[in-house]
Amino acid sequence: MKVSKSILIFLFFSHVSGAFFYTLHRTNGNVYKSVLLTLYFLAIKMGLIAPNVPLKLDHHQPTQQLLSRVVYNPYVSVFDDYHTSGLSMDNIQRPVSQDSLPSHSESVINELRAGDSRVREAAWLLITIWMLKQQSVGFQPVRQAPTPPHRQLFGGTSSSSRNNYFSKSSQPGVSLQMERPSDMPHQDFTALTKEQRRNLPDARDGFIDVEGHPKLTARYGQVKHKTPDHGDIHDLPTNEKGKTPKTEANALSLRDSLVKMPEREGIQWFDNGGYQKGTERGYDSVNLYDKDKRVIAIYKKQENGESLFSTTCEVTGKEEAHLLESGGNYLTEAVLNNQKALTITDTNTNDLQ
Amino acid sequence: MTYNKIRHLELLRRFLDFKNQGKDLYRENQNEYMELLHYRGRLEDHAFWKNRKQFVLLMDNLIHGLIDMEKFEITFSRLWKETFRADSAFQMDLKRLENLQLDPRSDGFGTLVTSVYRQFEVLEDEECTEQEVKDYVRNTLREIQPYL
Repeated sequence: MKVSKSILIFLFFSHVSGAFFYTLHRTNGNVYKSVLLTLYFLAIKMGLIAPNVPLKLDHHQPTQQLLSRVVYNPYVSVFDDYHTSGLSMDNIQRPVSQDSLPSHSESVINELRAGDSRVREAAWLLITIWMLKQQSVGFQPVRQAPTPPHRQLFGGTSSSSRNNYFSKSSQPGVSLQMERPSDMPHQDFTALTKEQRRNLPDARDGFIDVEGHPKLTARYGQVKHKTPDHGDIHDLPTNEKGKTPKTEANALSLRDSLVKMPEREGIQWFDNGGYQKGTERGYDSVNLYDKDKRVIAIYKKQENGESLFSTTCEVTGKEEAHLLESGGNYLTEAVLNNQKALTITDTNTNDLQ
Repeated sequence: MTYNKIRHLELLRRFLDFKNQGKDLYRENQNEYMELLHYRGRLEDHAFWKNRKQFVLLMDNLIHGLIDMEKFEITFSRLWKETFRADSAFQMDLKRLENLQLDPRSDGFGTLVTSVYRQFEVLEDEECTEQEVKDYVRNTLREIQPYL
């Protein structure tokens, strides 16, 4: 019996300390008020005072308002069940007198004093503590987790997770696709460039595997990045600004259009092509060119042998001429214009010599 | 390259004939296709040149701070795309091509405005700054002066 009594005492003090920490939280860390409220709680437990004694926590607020704050805790919705606990705030909330209806806590204390139903009381306290632990979230506000960097990158400017293309609400099961890969150290992830992050593997990636040609990959992140300004050349709708809305549906449509490009009639492959080669932005690439539509898709060659989608655009007559003449090096007219200027300079130099 | 309308029309007819047969001029005769492409480029110059006042107005407004880069990018891109696509359809229309009077002053104009248009993708990829694009536009505007 001694042991069981010790357990009961321990549980009781745990209960009281729980009340203290709760009030500490509710008073924004005011220790004095927390101690005061806990003493009131203890007094009620011991039957020294009635539970409907006005609380001193907020002098300017009626008791009913104070308790409403507790019952309708903004941090936890599960708090409705809290009335079963030893804190029993709903008892205090009742506008009936202590004389007519003793609080549950008081009756428990009275029973403890009388030495009756100890087993039942111990069970009650255990349940109370268990509930406190289960609902421990109620002691601290539930804060919305900060938006991960990759969501900011691909989800537009809205801070609302519901407006985010990667939000769980809109994309169950794929919301973590752009998370840092589990085998990638955090430092490595944060060190990635935006382009590299856009090219992290995703379940929505598209793949082109045509016999006799390099395998091509259209990473979802990169496709989505290119959707607003390049979607229309793949027959996607545009808004009043002439841009294709950066929605997941549009990005997937663009991806599908890219993946189906090899099926187009007269499509031209440049397995050893390039993009702006000879300039600072230049790189080796696999290029797919649709002469009928005058649309090109560029796949940047990676060191690991992959070829990742980089961009797609309409090709002018001069750009197409250079593309075909060079065997697949796509130069924009901006670069061609500079080369022309250089050629003129060289000619002048020769003339001078 | 001097523009030869008769030759251009001849090449275009061959291109369309092959296309109607399900064939490709490029595969059948690469030289002719490349020659056709050069004419195509020349006509694009003309198409952009016809809208030169609008292109120049936009560029001038950017340089003088009357519109910001976003507005410039949206309106310039739209104008470029509309011009380019209208011309692409025009270049497949033999009858309309027959009536075309190509202005020799337009030679090279398309390259200048297309060069500006291509900077938007560099900006999109954050490989240059808005100020650099603005400087590019300012320099291009100087090059365009002889066309006005």
